[in-house]
Formats: sequence, C-alpha cells, structure tokens
Amino acid sequence: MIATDACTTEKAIAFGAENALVGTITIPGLGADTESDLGFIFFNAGVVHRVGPHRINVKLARAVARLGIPSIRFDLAGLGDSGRQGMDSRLSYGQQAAVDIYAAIDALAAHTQAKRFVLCAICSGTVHSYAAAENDSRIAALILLDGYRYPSARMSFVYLMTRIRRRMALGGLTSWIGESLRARIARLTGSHSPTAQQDDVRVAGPGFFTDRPTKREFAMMLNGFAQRNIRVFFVYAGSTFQYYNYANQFKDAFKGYGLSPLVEDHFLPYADHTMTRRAAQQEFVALVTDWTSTRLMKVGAAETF
Amino acid sequence: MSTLLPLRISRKGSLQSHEHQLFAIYQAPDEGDARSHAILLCNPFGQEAIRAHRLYKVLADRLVRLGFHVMRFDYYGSGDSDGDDEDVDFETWLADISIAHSQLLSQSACQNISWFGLKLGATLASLASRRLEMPLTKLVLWEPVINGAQYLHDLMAYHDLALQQEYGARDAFDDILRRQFASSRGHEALGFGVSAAMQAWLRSIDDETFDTPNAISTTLFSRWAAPTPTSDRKAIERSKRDPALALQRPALLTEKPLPVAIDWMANEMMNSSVVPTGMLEAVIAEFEGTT
Repeated sequence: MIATDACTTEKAIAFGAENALVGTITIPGLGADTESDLGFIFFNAGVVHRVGPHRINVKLARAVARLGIPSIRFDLAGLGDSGRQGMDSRLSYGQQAAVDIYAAIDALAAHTQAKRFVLCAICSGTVHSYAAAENDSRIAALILLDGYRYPSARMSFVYLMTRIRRRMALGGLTSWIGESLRARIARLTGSHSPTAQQDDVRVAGPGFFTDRPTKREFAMMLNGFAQRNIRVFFVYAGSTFQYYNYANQFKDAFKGYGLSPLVEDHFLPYADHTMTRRAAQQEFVALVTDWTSTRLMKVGAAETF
Repeated sequence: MSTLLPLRISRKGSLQSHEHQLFAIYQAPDEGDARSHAILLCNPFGQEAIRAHRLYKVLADRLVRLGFHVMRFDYYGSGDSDGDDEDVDFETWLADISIAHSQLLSQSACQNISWFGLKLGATLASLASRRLEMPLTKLVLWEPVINGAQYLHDLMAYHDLALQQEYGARDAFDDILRRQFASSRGHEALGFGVSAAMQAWLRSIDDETFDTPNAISTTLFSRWAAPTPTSDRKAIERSKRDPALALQRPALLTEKPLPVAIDWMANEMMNSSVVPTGMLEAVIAEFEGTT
C-alpha cells in the first residue's frame, strides 16, 4: 500500500456476500495524530457512488485519518460499483442496506484495529444508519447530514419572512401577498389534506423523505440509542430553508421530548445539501473532525463523554 | 463467470514505488466468451464524472458480457484516487491514461486495446493516444471538448446556476450568501477546484491543439455531425465548432450524430442514476463489431 499523503494509505477491496460490495479502506499512517479504536463508515448518498457528492466522503475519510481513525467508503449493493449478486431477495431495500453496512464494519474491523464504528451518512443514507444502529452494538455514533427534518413554529415564521424579504428585494410584495392569500383560501376551501403535523400521526414529511417517523417515535429511537451510549450528531444545511432554517430548530422541535444530551445538532446556514462550494465542504469536514475529536476520542485513559 | 477487481495502480507503474496511486476497476469476461480485446474508459471532468459514473458502470458491464476486458479508473485528484482537487493537472491526467492503459494490457494480456472517452475524457483520450507506440484498435470519442475556453466558461456558468438553484430565494437579500457565492467564483466549478494551471491548460485547448488520434479507427459522436456541408460558408462555420475537423479528419475517422444529447453539467443530472439508453447502445455498437 502506498501513501496518499504523509499520513494515509488506501486499499481497494471487494467484500461482503459473493464479494459483491466495492469499497476503499483508508488507513492512518505513522504520522497521524493518535491511534484510535474508532472506524468510520461512509456509503452512498442517494445514488451518488461511494466518493460522495463532490467527493465529500473521500475528503472526510482522509481528514479523520489525520486523527488516527481508519475508514471505509463503499457502495451499497446495486449502487455505484457494487453488484447485486450478494443481495438477499428476502430482505427489503432498507434491510439489505443494513446488512451491507454490517459487512463494511466487518471488513474495516478485519483490516484495522477499529472496534467502535461511526456511521457518517448524508440524506437517504441517514435512514439506513438508524436501521443499522438498531441492531449492531459496535456502532458508537451517527453523524448525519440532512436527515429527517422536523418543523417548529418558528421555522414557519422564518420561512415566511425569507419569502417576504425576497419579494421586498425583488419588488412585487403586494401582488405576492395577494396571490398567497388566494392560494391559501383555495387550499382551505378545496380538497387538500390538512398540513398540520400532529405528534402521533405519521405523515408524509416535507423535503426528501416521504415517510418520516412521528416526533414521538423519533425521540424514542434517539433516546434508545442514548441508553446504549450511541451518540447522534445531526447536521443540517441551510439551502433547504423551507424545511430547516435556523440554528435551534431541532431543539425547539423536540422541546418536551426529553432528548438525551448525547443527541446534538448543528446548523450550517451557508452550506447547501451537497456541499457544492469548497468552503462549505471544508466547513463540514472541520465540523465532523472537531466533533469527533471532542466527543468520541479518548484523552489519556478516559473517554470524553 | 466474469470477474470484477477493484485495484490501485501506482502512478510510477511499479508496486514498489512510493508514488501516488490511482483507483481502478478491472472487469474480465467469462473465459468462454473472452475476446482478446480490452477497453479503457476515460472519465470526464469533475461533476460530469460523478454524474456519468452510472453510465460507465453499466457500459462496462455490457461490454464485459460481450467478451471484452474493461477497465475504468479515476485520474489523480479525482474519484477514489489519491490527491485533492487542487492537485489536478491535466498533463498528469494524460499520463494517467497511459498508466491505466499499460495496467490494462498487463492485466488482460489482450492483443487489442481500445478507448472510450466522454467530454473532457474524449479530449484527453485523443491527445493521450498520440503518446502510444502502437495504435489503438478503436477510439470512440463522445462530444470531446475542443474549445477549452468555452468549456471553462460553461463550467463557471453552471457553477453559478447550481448555487442559485440550491439556495433558491435567499441570494436576493442575503449579503453574506452573496459574498460566499462570489468567493467561490473563478477557481471552482460544481464542487471541484479548478486551479489556475487547470484553467490555463483548458484555455490552450482549441482546434489547433489536435493531431490525428493514434487509432486504427476513430468514431466521433458530435452534435455538429452532418453528412456534408452544403456550402463553403457553412463549412467555415462548422470548422469553428466541429470536433471532427479539429481532429483533422483522419481517413478512418467516422463522424456520427448524437443519438441523444445529455447536459452532463446540469443540476438535474445530480441525483439520477442516468444511463441514456441511446448513448449506451450507440457506444456498444461501435465495439461490438470488432474482434
């Protein structure tokens, strides 16, 4: 294996059932900051292959390697370079994804000293992360970009103000107000389903997810993770401002649900969903490495929980 | 049964070297179906490569089922290969094609080797072929970039458009956002760095750049393809835009129209597993008749 820079080496592997899954393992070199028993798992965001949108998974992998943490980035079965021949036809798509993640954990554990694993996922990958964490005690943390988003009262206000500010900047505020009122009246008098979100009602969520858990279900899942000492770090990008648009939206949305302090969130107002700008990529990478350093890595003989 | 082997190729061509590595996937056909013919697929640039990844995967799988040995690879500083965006140097990428070519010949032990390239991958393939001692059996070029300055302009324009589409309404009044947009202009495009050196290389690409590709047979798919120009004036206009004329019309250059036009820079391509069937079948047909 040859150094990709002064610190890391990378290895291309086929693994899993029928060796159908394709991945790249990144191993810290002697120049890394410290040794760690952590390992990061990266996989597909939507249908983008394992390198991630704008190669973000590659950048994250090499950044955590500088912390002394190995990783694997791989393609779920049937996506990217991974084949379908290892798939179990009895499993649903989500179940297969969890099986693939376990295979990736096995592969990384076999190639490195990693014993505790962090799933770092984007968008649809966040859903697979929840499922995988339910049934694998090796998973220590989830770092999730733009997973499920839950509204708060203030979110709607901020969204409205954003639209008003835009209309004021572009002109036509009065006519826009009129159009919006007419549209709202049409919804109230027509056959549209109620849009109010009730805690105990499973509804189609806005944005990218069509079947989001209720707040109660989600809070229960997160607190269940916390009881197993699994940390969850939610990161939200600012471009989808109609669904998530201020720093404390997550906390406000789950006020009263008694979420564990092991569940944290962070808002990146000037990053977009796929980190198109390189500055946004750098900001996200720095956020992940800083959080990992302070929350997951041993300092001396003690865990920094 | 066909095999798929992910591997890392040393850029020095020796496993003992301590130079950087390229990620590659080598696929070998079922022994019973195997031809002595290998095909190297050359990626386009940046976000276009991300968006074309699925196409390349499906194309490779189809070619392998037809008995070809196939290799896909990531240039240095791209995909799963070593290096960062800022390390990208198109002269290095020309060398990377040669390195991947040598690896494929060694891996497959094939007598014949052909290449396929899309967009900038086609440009690089055409130029890199000139560095080969032996001609390629077949070179298939899909919309090569022949006006590098225009391509660079388009990259920057699509970058601006993508940011506008991602952030929607806020740019109209958010000064911080506008400053951040502005700071990203001129040196990155659609999520990837475009260094000054890269930009200079791209600007150097024009119809003066190309010599005849080093291939026994070349097929060029171009939106400018036409049977014959109907007048001298039209011929002059075509010559400014037509990659075939830029490639100096070798005797065995076949120019074909695009069966389907895809805008690989468009944001709509971002999260789609797009495999344009017309394109796939057209490319496969180019290789299918070879030995």
